[in-house]
Formats: sequence, C-alpha cells, structure tokens
Amino acid sequence: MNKIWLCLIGLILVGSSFQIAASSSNPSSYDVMADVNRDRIVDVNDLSRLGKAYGSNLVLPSEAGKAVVTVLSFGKEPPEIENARVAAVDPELLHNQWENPINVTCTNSSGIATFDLSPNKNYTAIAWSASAYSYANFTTNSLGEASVMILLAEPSMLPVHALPEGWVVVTLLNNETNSLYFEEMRCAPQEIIFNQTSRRFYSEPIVGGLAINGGVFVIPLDKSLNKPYSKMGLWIFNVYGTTRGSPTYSPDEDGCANVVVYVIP
Amino acid sequence: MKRAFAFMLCLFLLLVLVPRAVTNPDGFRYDPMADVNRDKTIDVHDLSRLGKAYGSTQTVPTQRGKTTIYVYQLETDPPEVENARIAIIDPDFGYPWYQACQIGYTDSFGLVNFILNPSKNYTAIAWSRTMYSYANFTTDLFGQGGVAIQLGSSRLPPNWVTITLINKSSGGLWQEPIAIASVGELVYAHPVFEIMWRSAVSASPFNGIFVIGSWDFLNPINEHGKSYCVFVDNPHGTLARPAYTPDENGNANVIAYV
Repeated sequence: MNKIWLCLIGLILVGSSFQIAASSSNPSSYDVMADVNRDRIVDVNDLSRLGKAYGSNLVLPSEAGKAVVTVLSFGKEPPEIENARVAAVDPELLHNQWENPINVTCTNSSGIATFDLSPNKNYTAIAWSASAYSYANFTTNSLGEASVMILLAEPSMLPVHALPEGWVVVTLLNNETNSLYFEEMRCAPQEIIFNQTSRRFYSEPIVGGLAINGGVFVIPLDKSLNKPYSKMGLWIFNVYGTTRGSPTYSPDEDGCANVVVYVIP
Repeated sequence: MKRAFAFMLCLFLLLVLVPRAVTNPDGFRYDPMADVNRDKTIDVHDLSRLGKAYGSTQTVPTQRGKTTIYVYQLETDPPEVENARIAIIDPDFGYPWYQACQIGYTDSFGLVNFILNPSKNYTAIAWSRTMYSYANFTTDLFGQGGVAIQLGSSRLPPNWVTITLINKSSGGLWQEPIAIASVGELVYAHPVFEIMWRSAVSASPFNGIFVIGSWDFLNPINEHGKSYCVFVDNPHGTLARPAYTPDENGNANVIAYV
C-alpha cells in the first residue's frame, strides 16, 4: 500500500514539474513517439500513462524445447490474440513443400502458439488474425527453442498486412467449416494477360504446376520454371480437381500476396 | 533553465520513488505505447524522451492563403517523409471519377503547400515509395489549413480505387490527355476472361492520378475477391491495361506504367 502511495506521489510531483517545463517548451520539439496516446499533444496524459507502466518489461513466454510465437494486437485490450493461425516456415524448404508441409497451429487464449523445430535454424513465422497478417524472422537455439512476437496492430493504425518480400502465401480453407483444408492436389498460378489481337484476356498456359498437400504453402520465386509468380499484375490461382475455388490475386510492390482459396469439399 | 530544472527534478523523483513501487508484481502492466523508444522496457529512457517533447503539440506550419500538408511516419527518425506524392481530391469535382485537382511533392521537412478554395471539403492522399494514406479536411475562410498525414499501414477512403499512370520513359506522372478510361470486371471462363463493362469516363486534360469512388451498387468496381481491369486509351491506341483485385475494404491502389 505504501509503495502505491509513493508511486502516486511521485507521479503527481512529476506531472507538476512537467507542467512547469511546458510553459517554456519549444513546440517544434514534438516527438510523435513521445505522444503516447497519439492525440498530437505531449502532456500530462502521456506522462500518466507512462507512469502507470513504468518499470515494466515486455516478457515473452518461453517453453523448454519449443519455439514459442506470441501474437499480439496493441490496438485492443487485452493485446493477446486468441485463435490466430500461425505458420512456422523453413525458407530453405520452400521448394519441397510436398515432402515438408508447413507446420501450422493456432494460438491459445494467451496468444501463444508453440512449435517443435530443428535447432540452430532460421525460420519465418507468419500469423493471421481475422483482419491482419504479419511475420517475424527468428533463429532457434541449440535446443530448438525460440521466443518471438508478431504484432498485428497498433493504435492509430489499420491492421498490419505484411509478408516477407517476394512471398505469395496461399491458405486453403474448407468452404463449409472455414478450417484448413488438406488434400493432395495440383495447383498453378497463371498470369492474366491481355491479347491485343483478339482483345481478350487469357490466363497464360502453364505446364506442370505445383503439387501441394493443402493447408498453408508459399509459392516460391521459382527461378527454374522462370515464373516470377510474385511480379505485379493480375494472377489467377488455379487448383485442379473437382469444384475448387480459383481466386485472383495482385502482388503488391514488394511482390507479396496473401491468397485464400475456399475449397468446396 | 527553468525547464531543465523541472526535468531534472522529475527524473530524480521518478528514479527514487517509482522503482520502489514497481516491485509489486501485481501492478504496472507493460503498455507498448508507453514504451516510447520501443526497447521492450519502460524506463528512464522513455521518460527522458517524453520529457524532451513535453508541452509540444503537432502543429503543421501554415502560410497565408495556403493549405499545408505534412507527411510523417512513425518509427523513423526523423519522421518527415520527403518527396511523397500528394493528390488533392475535390469530392464535388467529377464524381464518381475524381481527377486529382492538384498534385504536389513534399520537401525535406515533409511539407507541401496548395492553394485551395475557402470553406471546402477535400481529401488529400499521400504516397511514399511503399505506403500511402489519406486525410479528409476542410479549408477555412481563407483557404488556409494544416493537415498531417501519417504513413503507416496503407489505407484509402472506404471503397476508393486510386489509379496512377506513370510515364515509363520519364518515371514521372503521365500528364497527356487520355481519350477514355473504363473499368471492366474480369470473369473467368476457362481459358479466357470475359469482360463485363462497369464504368467509363473521358478525362482530358489528365494529370496522372484519378480516383474511382463507389457509387453504383449495380455495377460495382471494388468488390473484394473480384478482378477488374482499367482500360486506358488515347486516339492513337492503347496506353495501359492495369488490373486489380480490391481488398476487404473495397480499396485498390493501381499503378500503371504507360
């Protein structure tokens, strides 16, 4: 109790002192990061909020032998995001996802997803909430452990939409249950091209395509096929089989796209 | 001098009093916004930075008879964004195909001035190399104002599609007249795409940026999950065929190289 009183007295005194400082301050010294509540005025409200959190740390959870991914949104209270889909991707295996499907799990009520990963390796974790997605690169230690945070939103900003440069990430969902759909199938991203002679749009034919197991996978920049699937333009994602979704996508300036295919089982 | 004294006093008080209080494990939850320097610890460094800015306000400098746009970015030092492209959209001009009524670029202070009509509503859209954002604002009786645009996660007004034509040779905006620009929805009918025409506009003269607002619910051009193509022509032939797929907010930022 005494400690709380001490803190309160300290904050009041600090607030008073800062008010004195404000009377001789230079308006040009505005620092948007110091404007804690983003109301365009650095004042006692910002100081009060900082005081309430003073001395605290962001402590990311860890677990023996596991890689732990914590998914947070600083735009809501509490910040933990439950049931976010999280994928742990080994970038070295992007060209062989058929034999090495991407590990996907969902966060618990503490916003935590855990993975069993190889030791001393680089990975990329991608997290999706209902309205945002982002990623973080990390390296496991000699025990396969890591603790990483993915931030999906900050106050005053729209949800984050970020993927590693050049990655087209595809998620196959069951159209009825909205859960991940797993099945062996072939797919082929095809560029939609305008034919000047016929004045019609065509999807450029492709030989082979990609063998997939469903779930989440990343279309790599396949230099061997000379198909830059992530170049700007309009693409259609064809999934061969029975009644499949064929969504179109447009990679952004960084060659990234988040493609969701709703498969009709 | 007075300010320095006050700042030192408050630092002293915080250093002496607050650490005693925070030993209580039940309180003082980490607040990311209070972590001013983003080092995952809320400590004297955050307080010091807040103290330096204490009492300041984000004021955009204004000039007589002009509207000043200030473009900045969080998490960068300095926050000002130089050479951002700004388009001013007059919502009363050209609806639903808004052509940018003025275009400008920010200076090294992240500032650019425009001469606008008094007491009018406008939208300013700012583009940096990788991001874009916007602000709605109203000029005062003298056409004067200061508007700040924060570039962060890219956003546009709901259901707006922006189209920027870039001259491939010069890298600047395409500013020659165009005869017609129309939008068609692409409907996949293997192996070709049928085009369902949605909208058309003539724009001459053209200044390189135009915006399509959502106005026709029978012929939308911004439905999430669908594909559209903009047909930009002039009397001599085809200029560009940029295609786009709107996001969940009905937005698309289309850049076409002519």
